[in-house]
Amino acid sequence: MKKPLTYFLIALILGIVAYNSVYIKKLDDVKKEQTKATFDAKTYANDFFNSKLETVSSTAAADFLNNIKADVKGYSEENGNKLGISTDYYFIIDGNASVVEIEDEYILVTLDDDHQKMKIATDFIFGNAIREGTQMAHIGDYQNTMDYNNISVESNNIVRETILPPFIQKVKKSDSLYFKGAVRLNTKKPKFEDLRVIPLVLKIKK
Amino acid sequence: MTDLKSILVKFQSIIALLVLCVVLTILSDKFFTLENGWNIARQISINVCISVGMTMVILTKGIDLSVGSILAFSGAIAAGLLKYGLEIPSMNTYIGFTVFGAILAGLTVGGGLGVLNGWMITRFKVPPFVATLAMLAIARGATMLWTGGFPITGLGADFAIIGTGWFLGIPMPVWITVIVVVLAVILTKKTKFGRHIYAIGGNESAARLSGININKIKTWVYAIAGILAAVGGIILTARLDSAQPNAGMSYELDSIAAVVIGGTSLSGGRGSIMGTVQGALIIGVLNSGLVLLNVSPFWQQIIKGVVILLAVIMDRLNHPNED
Repeated sequence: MKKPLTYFLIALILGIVAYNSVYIKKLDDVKKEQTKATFDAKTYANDFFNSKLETVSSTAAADFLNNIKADVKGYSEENGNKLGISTDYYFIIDGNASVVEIEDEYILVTLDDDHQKMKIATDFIFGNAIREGTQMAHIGDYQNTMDYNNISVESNNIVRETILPPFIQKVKKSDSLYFKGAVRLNTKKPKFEDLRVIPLVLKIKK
Repeated sequence: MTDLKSILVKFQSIIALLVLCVVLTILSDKFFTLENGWNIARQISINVCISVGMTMVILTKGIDLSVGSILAFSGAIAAGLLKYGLEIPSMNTYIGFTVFGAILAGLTVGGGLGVLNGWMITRFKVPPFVATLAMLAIARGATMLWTGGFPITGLGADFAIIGTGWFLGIPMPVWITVIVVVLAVILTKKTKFGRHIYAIGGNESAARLSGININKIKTWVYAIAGILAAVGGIILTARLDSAQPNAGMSYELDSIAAVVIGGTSLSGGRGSIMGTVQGALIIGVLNSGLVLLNVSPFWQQIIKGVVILLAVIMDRLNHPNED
């Protein structure tokens, strides 16, 4: 009499544990739900570049350089975007400029406003600077950090595949151009001479 | 004089810890703060969980090098099941896991690998060092296979509570660690099983002759070490909200260090769970202090190594006749 009771109790406990541990669904239904919920970073980034980029506000490059050099920490905290506790700040700037040099990794330009020099990146493109600068996505909105990272990857691809190639083909020394892009600056060790604009818009003016 | 010496020997870990705290408080105004205290407590909680299991293993004159890998695998299993569940295409069935189920699965895997360690050691007489070294590689490889080499992230708020939540003003990992420590102290000090652990470590032949089932006790001890590594893995995964394939690398060394600094003899049969907690505290306080003092990470490694060496030398000097 004792043994069957023991077995019954063990089975009961196992049953309760199993009931609270797992749930069973039809695999087809789960797949359908997953397909609906799948985040497509490529579409998201394309939508942003096609329809929302124009609305992203930017600071005139000359103003940005003057202000950031005057008070890097204060200006960054007030006007920059950053991810978590990082000391890297991101900004969106724009301006009219003239091409001074065309290097492998960047194009050196002189700003029309006050003739300060800036580099526009043409080789190493950092998608995360675009993502953080434009605030096109917020990490808290993503349960899966891979989705969040993929936005950066896709932004990088768009710049690399659609924005840079036609520009690099045409650009020449002394050309006048309009640019809008993202800039990353580390406030702990700021190196103003190394600032590079990750281009979002590049237009050669006739 | 002998009394004073015996008191100093008995409380050497606590004295070392206090001296360390006083020195660091003088050197850094950020050390002796409540915030830093909770930081240290949270950071050492994983090491304490692993080290409690390691203490039992070392008390039986064994060693478990696989705890870091078991930690990673258990955490990955829990995270993977919670996030993706199990798919059985042939039956068109999906088995989803609740947080409770995922934790249970992680603990079961940890315990299972521990049993496997114990079985290899007792059934085939493989030296513990070799058996657990092999498990270290196997569990790490299994983690890579299970995760595909990528972190499993986004495990949800309910799971994250385990690693980041607070209860009654105390972080959840600290609560879990306190429960683990209390249970382990009761197990080792107040039960027959605990006495058998000490007996096996003290003199295995005598323990066998006195009728203790050595294989059974050892297997259980490795199983407990595996389960506690899994507890550490689940806390770590919850704290990071991701299961990293390379999680827990070299945790076994921190764990052995905590046990040794805490006064447990590598020859087995002597030591205590509370000693190990003190050892883990010393390592945690030292880590925190060195970071606050901006000591280079390279020097940190050297200093920690020297502390471990000093602890063992002190132990040897205090117990010169031990094997």
